[in-house]
Amino acid sequence: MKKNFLPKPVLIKITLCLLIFLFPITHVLAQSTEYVFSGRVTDKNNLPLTGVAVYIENTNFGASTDFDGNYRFTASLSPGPYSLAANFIGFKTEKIRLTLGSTTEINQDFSLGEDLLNLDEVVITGNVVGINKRALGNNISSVNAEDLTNNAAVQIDQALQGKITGALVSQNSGDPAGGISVLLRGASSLGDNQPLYILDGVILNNASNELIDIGGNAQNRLADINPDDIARIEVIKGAAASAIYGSRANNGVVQIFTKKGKIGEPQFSYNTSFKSSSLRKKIEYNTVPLKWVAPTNRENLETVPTERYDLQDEIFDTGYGYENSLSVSGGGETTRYYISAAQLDNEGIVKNSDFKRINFKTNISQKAFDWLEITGDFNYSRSVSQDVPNGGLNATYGALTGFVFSDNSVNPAPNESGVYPVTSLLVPRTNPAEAVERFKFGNKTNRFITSFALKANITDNLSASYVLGLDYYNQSATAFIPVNNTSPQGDGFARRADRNNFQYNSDLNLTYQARISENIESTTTVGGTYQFQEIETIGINATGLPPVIETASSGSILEQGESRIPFALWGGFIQQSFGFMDKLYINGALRTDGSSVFAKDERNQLYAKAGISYIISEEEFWANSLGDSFNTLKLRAAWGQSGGLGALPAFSRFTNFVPSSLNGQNSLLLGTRLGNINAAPEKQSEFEVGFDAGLFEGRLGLEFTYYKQNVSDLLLNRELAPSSGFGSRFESVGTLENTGIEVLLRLNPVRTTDFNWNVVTTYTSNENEITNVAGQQIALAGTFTTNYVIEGEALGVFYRQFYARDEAGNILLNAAGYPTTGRNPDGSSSKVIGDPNPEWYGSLINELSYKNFDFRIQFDAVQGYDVFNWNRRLLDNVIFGGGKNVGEELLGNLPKGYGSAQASIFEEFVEDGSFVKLREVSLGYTIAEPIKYIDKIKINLVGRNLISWDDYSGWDPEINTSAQGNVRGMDFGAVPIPRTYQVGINFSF
Amino acid sequence: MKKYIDIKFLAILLLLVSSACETDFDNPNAATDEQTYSSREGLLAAAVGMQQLYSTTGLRWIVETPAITTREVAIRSTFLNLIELEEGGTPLPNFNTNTDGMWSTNYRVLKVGEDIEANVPALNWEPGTQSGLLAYAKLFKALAVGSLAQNFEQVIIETNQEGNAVFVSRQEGLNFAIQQLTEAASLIAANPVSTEFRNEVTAGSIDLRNTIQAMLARYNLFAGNYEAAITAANNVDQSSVSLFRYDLLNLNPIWSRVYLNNAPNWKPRDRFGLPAEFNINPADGRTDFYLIPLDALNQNGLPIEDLAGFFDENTEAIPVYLPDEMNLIIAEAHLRKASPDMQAAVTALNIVRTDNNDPLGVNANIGAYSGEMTVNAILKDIYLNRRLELYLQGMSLEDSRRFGRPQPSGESRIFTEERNRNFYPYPERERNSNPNTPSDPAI
Repeated sequence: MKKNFLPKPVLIKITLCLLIFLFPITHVLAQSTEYVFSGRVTDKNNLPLTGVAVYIENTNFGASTDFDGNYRFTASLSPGPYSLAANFIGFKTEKIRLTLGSTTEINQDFSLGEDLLNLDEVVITGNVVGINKRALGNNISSVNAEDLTNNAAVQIDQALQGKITGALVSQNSGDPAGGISVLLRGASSLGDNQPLYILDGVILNNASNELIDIGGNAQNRLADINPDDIARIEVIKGAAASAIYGSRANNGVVQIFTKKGKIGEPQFSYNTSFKSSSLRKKIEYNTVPLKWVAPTNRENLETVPTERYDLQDEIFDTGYGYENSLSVSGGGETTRYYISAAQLDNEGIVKNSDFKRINFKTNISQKAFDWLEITGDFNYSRSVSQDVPNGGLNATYGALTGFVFSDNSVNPAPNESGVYPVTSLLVPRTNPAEAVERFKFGNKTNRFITSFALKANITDNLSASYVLGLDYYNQSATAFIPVNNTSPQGDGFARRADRNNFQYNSDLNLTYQARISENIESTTTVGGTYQFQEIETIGINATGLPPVIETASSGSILEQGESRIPFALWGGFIQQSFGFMDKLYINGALRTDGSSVFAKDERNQLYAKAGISYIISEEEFWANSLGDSFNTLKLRAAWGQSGGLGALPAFSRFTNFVPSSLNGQNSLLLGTRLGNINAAPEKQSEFEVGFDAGLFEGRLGLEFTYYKQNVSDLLLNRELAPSSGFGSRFESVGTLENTGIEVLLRLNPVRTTDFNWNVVTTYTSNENEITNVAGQQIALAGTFTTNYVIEGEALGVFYRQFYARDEAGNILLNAAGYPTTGRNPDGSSSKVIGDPNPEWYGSLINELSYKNFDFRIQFDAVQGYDVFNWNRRLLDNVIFGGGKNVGEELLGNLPKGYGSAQASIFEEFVEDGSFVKLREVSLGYTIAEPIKYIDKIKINLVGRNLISWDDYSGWDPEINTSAQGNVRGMDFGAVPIPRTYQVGINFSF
Repeated sequence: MKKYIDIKFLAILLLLVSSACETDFDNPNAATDEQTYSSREGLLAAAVGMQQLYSTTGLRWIVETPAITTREVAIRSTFLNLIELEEGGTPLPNFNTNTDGMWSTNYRVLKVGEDIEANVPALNWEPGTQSGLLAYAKLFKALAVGSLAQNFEQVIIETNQEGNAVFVSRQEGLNFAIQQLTEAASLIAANPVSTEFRNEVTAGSIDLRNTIQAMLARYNLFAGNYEAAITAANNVDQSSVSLFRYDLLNLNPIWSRVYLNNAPNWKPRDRFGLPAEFNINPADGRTDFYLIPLDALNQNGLPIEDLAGFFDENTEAIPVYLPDEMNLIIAEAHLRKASPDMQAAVTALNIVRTDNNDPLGVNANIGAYSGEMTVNAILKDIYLNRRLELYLQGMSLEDSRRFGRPQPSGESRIFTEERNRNFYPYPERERNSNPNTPSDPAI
């Protein structure tokens, strides 16, 4: 069945390839004159601006200003009218109309005014060539390098927390490379909800591979990227903007741009930092020096004295870390380079856990001809973690699982021969002290991300770009629990699992930019892509281990597994945009693509988008009336479609038989899922409308967006009656909606030569509603049947038992004084008892600089969401015994066994998770040219996650034992996010 | 001119890069139903898979669930499904994992059986292979429906993928099993199973002819067809044994529940969980065969022992049926038939009581029956012997009802009751999607 053929987009592509190389010949024939452009760019205070892009519009000629604000470049152009533009982030673009004639030396200075809206910032995402934000009908967020570093974050998605609207960035575990999820404008699928990541044109894999069960944490593979190499991140959040990315963009797109070499002397930058992480707070624990004689007998109230131990001390300890990175960049007219190396070692707050990473990067750009630039990018990383298994939905051997089941009247210390006592007396769970000391778990990832890119300026108007990007890694995980231990794996346990992920994307895009008339500009882009991915996994498990040996193959009972998943996606798009007098822009795009996941008839999907933007403040009437105080107002609206691939696992359109064997005979086992050859990609359409306003000389910028997403053909793994012989079938029957508001406010209350104060506030509210699940209630996997998909509710609400209450709403107690489970009018005992999706989230950032000092403080808030505290359900149950309320029962403040009675009333453990956190604080001091050859030294003191204001009874409400999946708000033996302090120093020379 | 040579080189490179586009992939991990059922190898492997599913996952639910309900065993873990079963009574929820697991696994087995039966004739086979495959499919269809009829008041005898499967009474379920087995018996009588079938499917572990007859005897007894039960039981060669074999990838499912990881989910009850009115002869070899003395109570105060029998080694085989079950069937059928034959019953019962050379080593080796010569007295001894001989064979709930043991009160947590349910409630998942699902039994 393997077929090699050329789908239509590829044919287009090849034709286009040929065209590219024909164009230059005609180009050579055009008649032109050499002009030299030069001048100086300053701000309104006449201070020089460095790095301002000065260029001739609709051509490829231009340059950046140097340290003194000067620019100079030559351009061969035919005589005629042109527009010379100067563009710089944070400033309004200035354009000057010129008519080129016989004078070949043109001198032009610019004085740029501030613009906190960054309306003239050039963005790429959602487009192929850079485009001014002013031309976009949709909101796009971008974050620059300065905002991503010096915040004690280990990975880039962590550094994004609180910095953009519409993005709920959650750290799900406090482990040293704890998994991080990014949810853009709410969940849009019951499958994968993480956005598409693109690094310099390479489609990145950000899988959270759980090759071994370490409980409540799986690293997401963005952890392999060195944040110091990042120049900028752009985020688009929904279909309105992402249509040209087609079937992979259902959850938005995060595009990462790494640093490139700049023309000039080699620039060295060396960073070193040291950090410490510690547990932010301890939970309240049973400290009553008594224990029951008969714990399960509610009538027997006899107690005896005992000692109580704090098992938190056995698990948590301060972790230390350091980080070094060095980069060199520079280049000449034809060759530019950026080379870096970095090393990180970060201990976790759980004893014996850490994460180490090594990164190398080389990026070289070569101008092969004046019309062709070739860029080679090479990234290698090695990430090694030493993990301690903690909670866990499946495995029960973890340290924190042991903690919640442990009776803390047992001294956890090992005896003289080193044997750890059993601390969980009723069910076999690990003594946490043993788990941190004796268990060996770890993940190792070796990864290459590399790309080959061509950029050709075929004529003044036509450009082409080609990227062949490759992302390959091997992640190898090992687990080892030695024989004779207190865990449920008393005979020892070993596992080794390896995953090879290979993927590449080949993308060709052609752009034609032209001025159709005096007032109308046009940009046309066509592109084609082919993407391939292959995930191959092999794993072996063993129990019944001999002493000492750690390899899985040495066990007496073996289990093994292997899987290979190939995937391909191909597509093509065309995008057209028109600009009218720099104030009115419209654009539209069509994309078609196919994915090998779906049946042939369902593969080829068409997605469209359209957008309009109107900068009404450019109109004369505006400038004449409001213009002085209300400087800028842009109105925008956009609509678009995208597809969802993530919900349908590979090959699940078929009814599959799983290969197995029985006593050496081959066997095929009927799978539990009935195939559905008609399963189709999920379809999202999104509409957004908003405005960008700038007031008071650009000192106040406000961005407002309202959006509404409708997802149809939601793929539900629909439950079937078991009498079908199957458990479920994927059916394209569901629908869901997200509606929300995003507000970004930038303020520059004070700006003098020495003192500058900037304020940034973000606010996002999102309402998620499942509008159709074909009359079913579907329990999400891995939630102990607690999180559900229910029509009319948000994704993953808690749906379980609730308290019996009187009419006034007070909890009813039975004759013996214990609470009981309430009943619905129909006699059933479950109802919606909580929602793990926040009502709103936002941040407040203050940046102050005075002379050489700069100070930054960021508060993040996530409000109106619930967390299910599974820990407390066990801790407070007298049959286990470690919780604070068991102590209250011992003291007689609660009836004996009250916590046991509550254990089956799940409502009790749904807690408000709303928090405000002091996310980042940093104080920096810069010394300019302290000694010869050193340009700059900067010293930073940083704090991260220092304080949390919340009412949550666990360690930290910002947690999710289900890691990066769809299940939110689950706290079961997960490691809390640490409080981190960092001191760092940066040398530039 | 050099410039243009470079350009061509690049153009060719680009063409190479962009032309190798694969868009269709075969699944290397699994076979589709179409691939499985359209090939010889696929059908043979599906037949092995059908047995594998029944003998691993299936047996776990079939054995464990009624064993807890009828106190053959007592739970040792805090898993909710087990707690619910041991507490029993009317509160036993519809979503209990065990009753759901038993229901759904048996219907998976039934579905594979139906598909094998439907697809075998389309291929060319040696006659003895075709008859073997068809008879094997019918055997497992019978086992799937028969096992459910032992535990549910109404059952389904044909799968339906549209959520519209029809329920029939358990009596009709047993009749269906008998019909499948009768057809299977005549298929292999007409074309005895081939060496190919034995090599590729049963691998010498299961004697198809004897197993079909044994199951005919079992279900005819349950269905009240006593003469047919006696005939079928007499057709079984009691020196032959048929076994479900296990390996390191397919562990003995009962061992896994009791011994795996030293984390027992349950353990056997002292005295096979029988009430005090039953006297187990201290010399009865079956106590030592199945139980290892242990002085402990479970969390509900029930005394427990450690497990031996066919279940104390990880890859130990479990018999499909015990040869002495045939004698117990003959004995019981003789008593229950229209004109009871107590002498014949006692003769058959005594074979079990005095057994000392059982092919599977289950030897009571006690004296002949010496109790009252009344139908009820002999039946009571047969019940005792079934509990001992057929320990953890999945028939204890059926037996408890058939022998008229005390009805459950419907209250939960009455651990002194011999059984805490008569039948199980229908799984919630069935009711959610199948409008034909009947009301749950009162208890």
